[in-house]
Amino acid sequence: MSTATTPRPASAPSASVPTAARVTPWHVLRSEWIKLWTLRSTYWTVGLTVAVLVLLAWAMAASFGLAPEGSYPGSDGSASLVYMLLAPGQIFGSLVLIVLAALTTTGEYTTGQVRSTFAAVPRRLPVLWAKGLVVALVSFATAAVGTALSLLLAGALQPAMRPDWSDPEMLRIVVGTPLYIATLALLGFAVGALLRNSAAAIATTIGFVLIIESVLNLISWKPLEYVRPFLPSSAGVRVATPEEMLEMTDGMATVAVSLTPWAGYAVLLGWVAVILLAAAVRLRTRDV
Amino acid sequence: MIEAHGLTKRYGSKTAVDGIDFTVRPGRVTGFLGPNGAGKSTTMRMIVGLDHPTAGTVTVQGQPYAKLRSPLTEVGALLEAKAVHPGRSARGHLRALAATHGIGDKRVDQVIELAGLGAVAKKRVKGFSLGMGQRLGIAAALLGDPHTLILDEPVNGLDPEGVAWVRGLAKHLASEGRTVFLSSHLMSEVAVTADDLLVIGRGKIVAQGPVDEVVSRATSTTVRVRSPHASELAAALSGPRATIDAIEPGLLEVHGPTAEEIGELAAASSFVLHELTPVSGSLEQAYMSLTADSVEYHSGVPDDAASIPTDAGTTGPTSTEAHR
Repeated sequence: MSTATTPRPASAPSASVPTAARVTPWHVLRSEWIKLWTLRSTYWTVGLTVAVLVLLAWAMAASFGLAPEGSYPGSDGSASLVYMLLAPGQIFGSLVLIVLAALTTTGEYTTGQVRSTFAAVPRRLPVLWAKGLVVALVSFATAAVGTALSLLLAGALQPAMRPDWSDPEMLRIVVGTPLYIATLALLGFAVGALLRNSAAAIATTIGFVLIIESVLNLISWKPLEYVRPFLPSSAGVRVATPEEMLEMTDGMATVAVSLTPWAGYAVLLGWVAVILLAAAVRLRTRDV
Repeated sequence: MIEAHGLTKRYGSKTAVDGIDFTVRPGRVTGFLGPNGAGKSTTMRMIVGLDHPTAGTVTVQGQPYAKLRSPLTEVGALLEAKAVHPGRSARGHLRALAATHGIGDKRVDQVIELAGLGAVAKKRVKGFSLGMGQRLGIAAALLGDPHTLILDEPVNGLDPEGVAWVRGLAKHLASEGRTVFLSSHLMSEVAVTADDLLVIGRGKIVAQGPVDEVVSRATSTTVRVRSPHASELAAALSGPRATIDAIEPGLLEVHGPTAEEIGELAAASSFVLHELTPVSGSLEQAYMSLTADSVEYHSGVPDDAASIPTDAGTTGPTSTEAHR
């Protein structure tokens, strides 16, 4: 009760404030790391993402056992077959992480936390970069764990789906999956940082990736052939798709240029970079 | 030391802060007083770089806040009761803030104790009362053991014990040579805590200086006079020095002349006096008169009601501003 009534000499406690205390990129990164892991929603979204990835892989493995011979592409253990296992998770596994990523920044604006954050780091930009790095790292690690568990589970259920690492494309598909998922999350983060509004950021990112890109890929209108290769998700997912499948999709939604897997990923990164840059400009010039 | 020069903030066509100049000195508690909407919070947000001034500058220790290498050890700010993510615990919030400067958990636990938050430190801020939120904000302001403290309405929502704590803390910090700048819309609050006053109204500084000086400058002597000859007396008193309010028939409030002067004039003119009472100027009165023109939201009395003549029998200027 009386702990608060008597003002303590503030000079005595100051001994534990280091004289070298100051803002550094590393300190800001540590702060953002603490921020992420002191919210319960982080544990929920990370757990949910892993669960979604594993469940979808399990469903694919189970249906593989029921499907008639030859209805799945590729030979046993091929990159194409492993891709079939991971493909649903590439889209649906990223949704939860997009929400998490967008909320790390929009959540600060809606709650007023942002004023505490930028009073501590008035240069502001270090916060944006640190948050982005934390989001990217955590999203990649989460998706990587989910992908690894998916492969183990599916391999145990269906020996034919066990990855054959001698397939030259295998490593790219297995690493490309969490890479693509983490970069989509980063896209959600960038949109959140730009729009500063949770609902708008999540709806924009997921709506664009899931709906607008699909619609643009379905409409057969000649000029769209020049647009399709440069849509963020359609381009980015190429890094996690084997050549055999890329030829198939390019044949269905015709494109003017067929990007290589890594060029496609670079297009997605380009989108992230441009939106982050816009967010950085807004952050520097506007009030919070 | 906080210095502002021509500090201005406009939102579209609305001017929130209008070219103000002020200096907040170390070793003293400076009260920042003004009605709601007068520009206090905007000014404070500009000091810590959250809002960019439209024009003018404001510096802390001679530097713009955004240029400080270690903002938290220079300036501690309580800006809004809950500038905190409600899903985080009090301790988690403070740890994250402290980490930006490489300040360790030991200091975090110290400010938690200092602010009396020990029992709730691990609880999520979501369930905090307004008062606990204030204590958390003050704990955050103290994290870096700063030279300058900026506290926006620090006693808002605090219980009497908390109010006493904040007052004591502010005085104690100033006695250590720190700069303490605290805002309030309540004159009574500032009067018991502050050494200096900065009064703002409609974005402009209307008065500044030591509390006593500001108050005495803003309050003139008022004398209450009750007399059956009120209207004749008012006529005799009227002049450039005197302002006379007719409160009710037979009762005047006279500003300007002293009680002695009124009494002598009444005796010379053989007016009967039933009462002659000097009413000393109060802080609240000073505040009202300073900011009377600048209150943004008046209470719901239509302007017409105030302009109805209170007493047809009085001559001299009839003030429509209630000085009570």
